[in-house]
Amino acid sequence: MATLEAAKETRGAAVLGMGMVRTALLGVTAVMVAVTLYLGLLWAPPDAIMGDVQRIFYFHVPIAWVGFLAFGIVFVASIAYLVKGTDGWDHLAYSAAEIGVLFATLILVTGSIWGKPVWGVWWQWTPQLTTSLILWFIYLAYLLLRIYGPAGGQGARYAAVLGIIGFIDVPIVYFSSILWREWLHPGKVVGPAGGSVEPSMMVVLMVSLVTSTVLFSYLLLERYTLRKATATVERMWQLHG
Amino acid sequence: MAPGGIAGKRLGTSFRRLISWGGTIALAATVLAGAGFTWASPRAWGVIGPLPQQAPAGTIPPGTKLGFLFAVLLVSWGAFFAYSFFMSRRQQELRKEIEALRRHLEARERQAQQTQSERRPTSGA
Repeated sequence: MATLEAAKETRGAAVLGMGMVRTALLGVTAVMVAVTLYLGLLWAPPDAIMGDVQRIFYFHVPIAWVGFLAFGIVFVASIAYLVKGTDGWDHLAYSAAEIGVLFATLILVTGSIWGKPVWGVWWQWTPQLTTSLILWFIYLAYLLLRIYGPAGGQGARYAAVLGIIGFIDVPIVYFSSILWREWLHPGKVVGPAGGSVEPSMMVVLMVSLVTSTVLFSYLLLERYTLRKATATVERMWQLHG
Repeated sequence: MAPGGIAGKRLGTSFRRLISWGGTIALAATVLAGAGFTWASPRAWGVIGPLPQQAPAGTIPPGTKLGFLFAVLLVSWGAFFAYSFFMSRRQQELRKEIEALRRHLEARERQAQQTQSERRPTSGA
């Protein structure tokens, strides 16, 4: 009995601790969003060629980064689920995939909005855009498989395989402008083939990247907790219903 | 648990909820302020006359076409808030489900106790 009480207290403390982490993360996110908006909209100088429209860059690139990060988490969690078979990894993969699809949708939409004033068209069938669209379809299929596919462990295993295979497209999207010598989409700003960006613009971009990562962490924590709680309640209904 | 402990726990929960709501509202206000600033900017839709410097041919002068920037902010934050709303709805549904489960378990426990008390006099006789 004493052990049960102690376990309850430990669990209560853990839940309370998680709640505090969530609140702190939300507070940090709010402050960082405010700073990023100020830097991106007011502090950063306008681009010499694109003018103020280039400020979309401070929102579009971090959204793309978060999308790739989310799919990277799906990839790692799917491998871990197939190896260990614990539900926690599956919940993490599902939660990251859902947020990843949200951000992948935003990559396509914000990219399209940026493309219109700069290229004069909403969409071009360039390698980077086409592979990004394929990526979106792959993870949309992942979510559809989770919703309409087999229930329980079998569905989770199928989805894990799709989550691993689908991730192959992420490096293809990232390096597509180099692989196909694309001329239309802006080249790499950071990374192995990094281009030249004005230092103040790079500072704003880095802050935006950190902000988007913190925002993503908050969303993932919320979604993961919700998914885990939903699964626990479902299991309890099966046991006692 | 002591009554003070329960009250303290309730106060803590309310406070956390308040902070959570306050944080969400602060985030929403910040985003709306940013978007509103862009929207209200006199240069946002290119309504102010000639710009100080003529940009080279084939380029977009600063201060024009800001509507596109506004659209990106609106879409991004709209999607974020829509997703947050979806999650909060799911949380509410889950809370209701937990309450239903709790009531179901209590009812079963009561029923089991009742059955046990009904059986007792029979076994005694």
